[in-house]
Amino acid sequence: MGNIYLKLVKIFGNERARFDDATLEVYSYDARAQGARPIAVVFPKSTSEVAELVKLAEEFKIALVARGAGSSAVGGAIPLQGSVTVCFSLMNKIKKISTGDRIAVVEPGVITKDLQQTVEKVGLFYPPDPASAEHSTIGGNIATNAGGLRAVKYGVTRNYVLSLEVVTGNGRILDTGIAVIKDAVGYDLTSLFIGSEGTLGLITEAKIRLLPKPESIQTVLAEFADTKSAINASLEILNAITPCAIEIIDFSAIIASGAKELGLVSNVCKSALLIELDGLENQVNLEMQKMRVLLDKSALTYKTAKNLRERDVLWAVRRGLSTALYKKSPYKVAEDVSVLPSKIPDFVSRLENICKSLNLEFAIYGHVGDGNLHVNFLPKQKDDPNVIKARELAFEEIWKLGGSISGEHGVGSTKVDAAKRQLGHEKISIMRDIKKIFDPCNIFNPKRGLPL
Amino acid sequence: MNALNYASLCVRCGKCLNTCPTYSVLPFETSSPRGRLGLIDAITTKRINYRHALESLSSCMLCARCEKVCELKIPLTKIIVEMRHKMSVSSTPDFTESAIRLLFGAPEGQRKNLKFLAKILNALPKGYVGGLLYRLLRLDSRAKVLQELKVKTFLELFKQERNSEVALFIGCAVNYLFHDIGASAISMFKKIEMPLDIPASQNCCGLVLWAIGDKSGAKRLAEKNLKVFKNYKKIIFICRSCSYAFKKLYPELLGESKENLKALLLDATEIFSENSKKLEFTCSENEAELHVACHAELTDSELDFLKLLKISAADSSCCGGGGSFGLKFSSMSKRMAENRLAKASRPSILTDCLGCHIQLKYLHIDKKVKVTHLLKWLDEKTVPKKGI
Repeated sequence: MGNIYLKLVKIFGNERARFDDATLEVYSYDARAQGARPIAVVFPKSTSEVAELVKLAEEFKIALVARGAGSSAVGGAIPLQGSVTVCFSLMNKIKKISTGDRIAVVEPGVITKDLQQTVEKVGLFYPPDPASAEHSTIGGNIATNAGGLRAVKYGVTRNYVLSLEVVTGNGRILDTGIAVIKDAVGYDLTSLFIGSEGTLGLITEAKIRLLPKPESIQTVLAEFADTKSAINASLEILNAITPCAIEIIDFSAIIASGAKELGLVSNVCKSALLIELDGLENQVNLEMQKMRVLLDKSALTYKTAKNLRERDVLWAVRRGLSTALYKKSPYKVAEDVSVLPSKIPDFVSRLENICKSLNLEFAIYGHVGDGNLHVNFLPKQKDDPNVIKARELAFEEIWKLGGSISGEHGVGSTKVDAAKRQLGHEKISIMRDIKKIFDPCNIFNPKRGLPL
Repeated sequence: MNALNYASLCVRCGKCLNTCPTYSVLPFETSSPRGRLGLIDAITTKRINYRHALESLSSCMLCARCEKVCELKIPLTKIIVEMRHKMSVSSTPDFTESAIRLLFGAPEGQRKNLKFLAKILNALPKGYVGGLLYRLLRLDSRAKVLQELKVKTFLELFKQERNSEVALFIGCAVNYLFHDIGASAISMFKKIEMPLDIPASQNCCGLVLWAIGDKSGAKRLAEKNLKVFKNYKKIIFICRSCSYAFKKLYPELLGESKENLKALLLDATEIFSENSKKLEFTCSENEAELHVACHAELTDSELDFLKLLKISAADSSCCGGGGSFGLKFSSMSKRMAENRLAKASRPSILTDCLGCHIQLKYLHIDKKVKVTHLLKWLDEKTVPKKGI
């Protein structure tokens, strides 16, 4: 057997196998939750190192928890007692961009925004754009099937992953598919790994599909008298055109965002839609015309960003909402439920009733265009039992409306019980069998992502 | 609220990660703002002994880039300095810290150490200085900057005290090393016909002492400077770090309520952009870019002025200088400079922070890129407009 620490040092060297107190402390949490301290944190630089690590972990029966930027909103990257954290921050190279085929080959630790900016320099476009794009990694995005701001028109991370290289049980290095646009041979193993939250193996490379960069962009901020009219306006817009993004921000979120202080919205604004159109210039102008007709009827007022700087300010406010809401309640609990857009009005009114009956403040913002809302409960005290109640009741309503308790954050460690209810015994049993195939020793992020 | 308690406000969202210069070259949580706050929280709640966090906390460059993106406006630099202050009280300072205290701690006029050092170095043949220090102290090529060390200070040679309304703050680098940059500043003020005082008794701004956690040393210097400059209407700075100290640090060190500086604090570019009509320029396209220092906050009129000079001022990555950071974390600092120089899009990089200037010029990484102080460049490229 030998000593696990010595063996880790043998694989990664002293610099990249860390057991010091400071390192273990700062890797004990992610953006959502506090976990146990890991026994070690390792920073692989190659697939072969990851394969060696997996074999070692199986030998010592040690859990491996993958980590990108630690920005999980559901505690997906927090260590378990006695686990080793595998941080991919050093596997951060964009290995290749093929402009002719519009494909990028990337390592998992590449920051999403770096990929977006790099491909844009050669006239290409990586559409998935989680609000955390400035710091989250592609590996994490794939592991959670991250959605983000542009899903209305472009879909989610899954739609842009052609193939993955993963290290699964026994240190097996596996190419999950063939990197072509269409491939009809065999089961779709690539898709299986997308959203698997590190429970089936470790992603070491991804082949990403890209699009041509949109020629023109228009960003509009529209103000409404209440959340209901903003939602209805978004549904009307979606019936007429497909914007790149439609985001809703309710009154509580507007206040927390500081948009009023920045002079972005007027005093009468009680809810806002942030809408972006992209594509060929003529097409964007036509869509804009159609949208103006609708907004003229429904919005209190609206304005278009005049330049890139104004656009950036608007999106920065939107991207900062999740954190900004901590100003309203340091104990906030955030969920990311997903329903069909037509069910949103129903869900929001039911949520209002739930929170009213429990005397609980809440805020709603997010991807109203694709039905994925970020519901933030804002309790006045820590561990407020009403939050647990409200969360349960909200999930019940989501299921009644045929929706899912997570649109893009995943299950992580905070939604395991709820996921169990959503999936049901039969599906869980199938998933359990699948996990056994890839992870016979149960070392990949056990107890996370899947209710096993 | 004790500054250290702000650390617990961090919700660990991670937005700060990629703004951090140290995280960009060493992407470990311990090199990130989020990690540092986590450690300070762990120290204050006694989950970890501060000794284990020394390296992480002393590697923060205090550039404050993370503060600019933090949604919760957590004053990270203030927290780090408070922690360093606490740590410096309870542990023996290392070589770099002791050297900084020795060289910068004494008020102007009493800095015999620097003069003594200058005399020794001046006695040596020029080329030997860098090499000697490299061998003796294991410093890198930046040690060559000490070749510039002058026995007579700039203030001794060029002090001007004519009861003008405007005063120039020189800073240590110009005072001891780069007299030419100071001379360019004087020449530029002549061109815009602005009478100027250079008070002889001005001191180091104190930023470097503050950065190592020597709050009382920094405060002492701040108080002395306030006394020297109290009657001026405008104080002009050659270095962004010095102006940062006056603008951001002094109110914090001395308290807002106290009788504080009433003078307008202006960076040199601000004053020249206000007076640009008095100047004629001979700049050509694509010649130079400004390295925007971490502590710089360029105003719209400064940006317009730079456009007029055909200088691009894209948001730069950190040069890796950062006070004592370059000495303590030499290889990390060097990699940052390499990354910065690799991004250079023009043949000349202009600096307006002397820390960045030393870092980029004396590391000699990319000799194709010429590093010049903005004022020196400006002095070469401008003449007073005729008929004014």
